[in-house]
Amino acid sequence: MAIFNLKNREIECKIVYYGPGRCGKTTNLEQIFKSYRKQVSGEMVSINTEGDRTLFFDFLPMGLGKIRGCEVRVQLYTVPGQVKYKSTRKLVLKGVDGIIFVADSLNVRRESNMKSLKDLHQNLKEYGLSIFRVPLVLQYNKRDLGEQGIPLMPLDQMERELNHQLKVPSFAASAVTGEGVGKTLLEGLKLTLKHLQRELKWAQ
Amino acid sequence: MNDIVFSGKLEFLNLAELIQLIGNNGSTGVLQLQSSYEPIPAFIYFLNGNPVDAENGPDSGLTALYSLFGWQTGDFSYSVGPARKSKAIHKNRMEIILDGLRMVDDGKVKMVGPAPALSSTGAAAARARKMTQLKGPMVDYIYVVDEESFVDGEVVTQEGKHGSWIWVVLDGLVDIVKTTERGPEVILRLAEGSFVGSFASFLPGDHVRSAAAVARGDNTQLGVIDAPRLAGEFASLTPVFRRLLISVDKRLKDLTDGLLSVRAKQLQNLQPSQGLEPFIPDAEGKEGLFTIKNGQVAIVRHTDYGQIRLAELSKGDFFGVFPFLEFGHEPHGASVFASPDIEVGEVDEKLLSTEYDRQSTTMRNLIEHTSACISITTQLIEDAFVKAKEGRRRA
Repeated sequence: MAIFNLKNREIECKIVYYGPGRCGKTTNLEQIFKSYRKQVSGEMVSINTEGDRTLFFDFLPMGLGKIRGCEVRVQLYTVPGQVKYKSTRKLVLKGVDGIIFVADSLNVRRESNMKSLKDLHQNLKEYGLSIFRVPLVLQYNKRDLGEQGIPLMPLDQMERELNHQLKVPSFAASAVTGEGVGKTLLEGLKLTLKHLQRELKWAQ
Repeated sequence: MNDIVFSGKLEFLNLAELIQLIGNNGSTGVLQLQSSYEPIPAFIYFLNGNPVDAENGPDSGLTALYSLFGWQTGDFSYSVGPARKSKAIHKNRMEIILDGLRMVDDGKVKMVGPAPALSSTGAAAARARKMTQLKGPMVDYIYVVDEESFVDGEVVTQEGKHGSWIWVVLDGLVDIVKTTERGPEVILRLAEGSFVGSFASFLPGDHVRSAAAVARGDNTQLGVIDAPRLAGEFASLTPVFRRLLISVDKRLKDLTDGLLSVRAKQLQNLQPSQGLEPFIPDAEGKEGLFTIKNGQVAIVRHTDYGQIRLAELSKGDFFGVFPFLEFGHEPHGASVFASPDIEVGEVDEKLLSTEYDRQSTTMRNLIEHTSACISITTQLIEDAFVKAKEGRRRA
């Protein structure tokens, strides 16, 4: 649920990067923070949670226009993967407006991708959301590692295994080099704003 | 500064959500938190939506603010007012929130609020427990002076009759049965190593059996315990240790009565008395073992369906962290409530522990058995309570 801040004439919404541990969620956010410095308001918050860092910052998407005269402010988050971070996950996922699922292209991470996606489904359900209805984008990360001879899953296999039922936009990416990071975020933002407009019947 | 503009319950809006809300508003003022589990209220000071200082008991600044993430229940009120001059906190508010929650999840923040029930209360689990037999520790044959055989249905002890013999189950099963308005009811089923009889047998004067014991199965073997020897041992205990055992025995009796009440659907008997408040030993909330010098104490378990009074204690009784007994009540499986006139004395757990270690195996087994009875009866009460409430909800 987006928050309307009438004082600042802003609509605040929340996009969460989800995925198995060490899949590159935080690298994605770090890239965005670096590359879109002008659109970032405030500092990046980084919390050392076991296994993964939890990141957060505010982002002002430019070029997507205002909604009813209100500026759109996006809160970008990563979720700590470990089961025990229940309170953090709850805060992050509660009222989420859009999700970017980062999958790891490494062959050996095949199962952890599936498990994490299933986990997302479960978690969303707990907050009354459906994975089939929430704005969602998939990212197949770490494509650059293929050049170093590390066995990766072919894109069509990942598409088949992860996106067969969801049928959401998906992007190949390499968060370390920044490739595909912007595209993924842009699509996520577009879907999220469209969903908000539809849901609140702004578009007439 | 006293103009409260916004107030409510932490159960509905937790601290993380409150800080976000006040932050979004860019407001300057004071957030006051009050928990019935803490002696004094806590404060968080905001400047333009950012927390700049906090106070919780002796702590201030960031330490105080982080500790408040552990407050699960309570009231909050926010007053708008001039900014605080000092700025003790310089962290970004989202960082505070995410870090505070991480500390909660990492177990680094002390949780303040009602203690949760320990186990799952599914119907299947309840059924499984219903037929649970209580097994005791390995029998110490040194104290067994005789062996007796019983056939199915044979009465070992009769309720209401005098007697101070104690048996230990060597083989087979024994039901502990209490007479109720609805006929005899089996409270517990004892198996090998469990005892028939209690500490009350050692007290001077005639001992009246509070329940009957009936053999189950064809060949139940009971060992007659050398009661005079055990009674002698009991008599040579320090008075505080003796009182502790009697208090624990009394707690088991309370629980048995509670179990019968809930089975008879008299749930009102399990309500904590009016006028009791959460017991706070001192400002630091130190945990320990206490003896009641004056006033009343109720041990209360919280379930999704409301509170259950497990035991009511009075002068001379003990509560808190028991050094060698683990029956899953306070402080982790139940909360302690006390009357306003409560006066307690602290008990040296170490001395009790040392004394416990010096006891004979049979004495220690009997103590352990009583503790096991308490924990299993508690579980039975909770299951029956949840079942009764669920039944009501459906009806």
